[in-house]
Amino acid sequence: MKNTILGIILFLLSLSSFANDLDRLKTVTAAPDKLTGTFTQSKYLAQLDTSLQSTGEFNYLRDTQIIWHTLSPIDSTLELTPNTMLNYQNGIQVNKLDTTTNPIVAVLSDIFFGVMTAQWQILEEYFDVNAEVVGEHWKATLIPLNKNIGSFIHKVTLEGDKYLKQVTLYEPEGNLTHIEFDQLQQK
Amino acid sequence: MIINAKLSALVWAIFVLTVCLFAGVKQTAFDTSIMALLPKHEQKPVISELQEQQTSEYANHIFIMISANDKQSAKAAVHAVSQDLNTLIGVADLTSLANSASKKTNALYPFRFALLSDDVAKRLESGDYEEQLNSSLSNLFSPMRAGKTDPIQDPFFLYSDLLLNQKIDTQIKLEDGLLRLTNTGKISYLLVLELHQNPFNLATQAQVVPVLQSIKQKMNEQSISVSYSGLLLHAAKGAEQAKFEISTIGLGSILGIVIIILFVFRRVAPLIHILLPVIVGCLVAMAVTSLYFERVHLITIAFGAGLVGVAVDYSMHFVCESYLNDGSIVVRKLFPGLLLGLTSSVLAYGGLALTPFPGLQQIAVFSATGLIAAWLTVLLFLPLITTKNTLSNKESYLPTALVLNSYQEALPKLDQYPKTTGLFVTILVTTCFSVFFWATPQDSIRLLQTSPPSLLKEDQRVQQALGNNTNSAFLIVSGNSTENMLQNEELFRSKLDLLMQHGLLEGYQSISQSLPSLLRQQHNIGLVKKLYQAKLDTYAQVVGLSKQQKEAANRYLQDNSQTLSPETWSTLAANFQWSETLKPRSTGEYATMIRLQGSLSESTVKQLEDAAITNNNISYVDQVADISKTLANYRANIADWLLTAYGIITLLLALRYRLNVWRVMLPSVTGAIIALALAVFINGGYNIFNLIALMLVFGIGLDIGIFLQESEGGAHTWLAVSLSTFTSLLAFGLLALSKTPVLYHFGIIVLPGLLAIWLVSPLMQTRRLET
Repeated sequence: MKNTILGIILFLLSLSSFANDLDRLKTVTAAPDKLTGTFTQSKYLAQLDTSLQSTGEFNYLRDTQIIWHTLSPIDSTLELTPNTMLNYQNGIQVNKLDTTTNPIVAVLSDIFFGVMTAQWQILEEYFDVNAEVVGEHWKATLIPLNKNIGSFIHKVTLEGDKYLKQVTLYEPEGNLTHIEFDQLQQK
Repeated sequence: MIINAKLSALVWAIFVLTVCLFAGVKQTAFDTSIMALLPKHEQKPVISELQEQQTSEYANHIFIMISANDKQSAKAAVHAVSQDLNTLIGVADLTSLANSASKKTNALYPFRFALLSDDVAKRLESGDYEEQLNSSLSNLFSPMRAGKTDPIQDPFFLYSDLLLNQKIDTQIKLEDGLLRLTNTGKISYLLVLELHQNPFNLATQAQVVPVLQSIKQKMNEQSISVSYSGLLLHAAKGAEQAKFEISTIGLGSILGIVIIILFVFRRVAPLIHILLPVIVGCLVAMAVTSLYFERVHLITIAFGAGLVGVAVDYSMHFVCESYLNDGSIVVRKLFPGLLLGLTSSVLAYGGLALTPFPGLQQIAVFSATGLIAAWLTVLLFLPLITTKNTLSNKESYLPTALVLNSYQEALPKLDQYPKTTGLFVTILVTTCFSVFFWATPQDSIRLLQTSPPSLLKEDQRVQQALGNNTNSAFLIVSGNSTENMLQNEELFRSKLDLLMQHGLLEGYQSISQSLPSLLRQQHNIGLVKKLYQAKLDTYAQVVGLSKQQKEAANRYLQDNSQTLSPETWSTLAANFQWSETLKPRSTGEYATMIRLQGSLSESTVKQLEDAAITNNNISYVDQVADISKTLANYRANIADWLLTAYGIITLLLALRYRLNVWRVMLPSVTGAIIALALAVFINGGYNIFNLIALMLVFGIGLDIGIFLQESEGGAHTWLAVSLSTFTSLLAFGLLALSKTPVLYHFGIIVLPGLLAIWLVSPLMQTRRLET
């Protein structure tokens, strides 16, 4: 009986501290309506034990559009709106997917929008969000709630201050994608 | 003579009892389904089998959708509802669809070389390997993609493409052992209740409906919405409405009839004499019909009730006449009229048995046996039990008879005014033709819908959430093996894709979209091998694969290019809905359904129909259109028969009445035309039920004509005619007040029709000299 009560109290305490940090996170990371910047991506492939480097630029209009333009080593653009996912290769459209007819595309779009524009309430639908805030600096760890998402994302960590500064995506097989952002500008 | 009469009466009584006893033991079910009325032919057996499976799937299940604003309360509600439904075990069980399906994620990964997405297949087919390479590289560098990154096992991201292009959105997915409906605004789960008996079984209805209602109420109090879809609910609603109308309209008319008869005869006995043959007639008709047919259709009952109107004529005439003469004299006097009346009516109704429609055949059997039974009862029983009528009242007219007679006498007779008569007949004939030419027939399925709109909407809501859109049209693809069926479907799908490209078709769902034929799968594997040959080197260079790694990738493709068998496929989570499709039909053939999405334009339907006609393995089916077509056929058949019967009976009666035949025929023709014209005027058209009611009007009108002619206008004959008209008016004319479309359309004809006949028939009689 005592243990149960203790358990409940601890649980409630953990909930509140959790909620506090997530709430603080929400106040610290108010994403701007527009943002542009550059990124450096390093993708570690466990099987080959090598990393693939790529760089490019990105910009977004909150709730409307994200453009992710890889410039090197290949020219490839990912354009995301809440309803579509487009792929361009050297400026030519190679793929168009609709989020309304394909649930997987919808989930991917949600997660990408959620991560890039710090929409925690969207991310909370798919992940268990664990946040630490120290002064201006924050770090969030996302663990998938759903095993279908878990089959291709093992864990996501996000770090930043005013803006999101780095993202790391862990895949179940040991692959790891690390992205760092730079030259962030609200324009 | 008396002993003979008693003996035959006894034999008849024994026969009636036996038939009823047998029928009582058989316990035939009632049916309101329109499908039961459709003729079972014209289609390949495999198609009607698939359709029947489709129909019975809906008929024998109740789909329950439970929706709430948050997941937790939705799940709790599902458990609570399941618990409540457990009280129905033995009557209706919850099905465990959820348990049979595999819960593996990425179950299709081993088959990625065989199951290419449409886009990739098209790309490789056209030899555009460069584009596939570019797409793979952009996938490799993209921060987000579906599926895993594996440069050895799947360098070209075929699995990722497959996932992103999966078009079959089943709208139902497994979630923690529950069926989650994904295409609804709120969080919704599905439960499926399977009935042990058919949904028209009244006992099942009585057990299931209260439980469902109490669940709904309980859940609504917790602001959880519960919606149902299933034939049982419509059947129960129909039964409830019928019960209500029987107890209001029915009771009202019975009271009216009793009061009239008591008022006229001022004794209780004649009431029994009049009703006995009617009751015996109905019982025998009901018994024979339920013995002869598997199920008795509601329309038969509705129409069969109309039979009472004709049967009551026989007993009414007998009872009225028995006030003047002895039983055996009455029999002798009335026999020719009764025989003619019976023959003409049985001919008119029985002729319906010649039509190819099961529903009309049932009506024919019901009416013919009922009329004969009532008629026999009049001749065999009534002479034995009406003896007291004569003893006390010999040669004295009933007061009502005298009043009615003086009204009839006061009316002018058409004989005296040949010019007026000619004009009258001309107008009648013209009206008749114009009504038939200008009136629009109405054959909408709505005629048969007895369910209130709220119930229909609820049903639609659930069906939509299930992904069964309101479009009633679909295509059936058959084949002599699963593989053959899938190949046939793939072939036909190229036509559908073309329609989609031209914007003529919104989309479709078919099995081969997620389970390609083995032929297609092997072809796909070949395409992938070509891709590897063409582009794996370039890929290896960009990504930095070593020679060994490249070889490993090649070897992996060679060793792991497996195809997906239908058996494996059917165990996958998303596919349990299709499980029946893979089983052979009774003919040994296989058949599957392509569901069409969105509304179809007329030209699209035409193109699909044409394509189906030229292809032996494809059929285009539209059930709603089929039902309307059936109703139209029924209507045309009855209209034809109605005219034929009028013709035949006119000829038959001409043998007896010679030129006086117009006196017999004209009243019912007049009544029928006036009634039909009125119905067309009120409802903007006529339908099958109007025509069935016309047969009743015709039957009663004919009896009136025959008896008046036979008796040459006797006062008690006119009394009998008037009484039987009034009682029929009370019994069926009041159906015009019914909310059930079928009954309303019946009443709207009978009411004015009979009234008109009663009003005009005295005009047609020979002028009587004596009083």
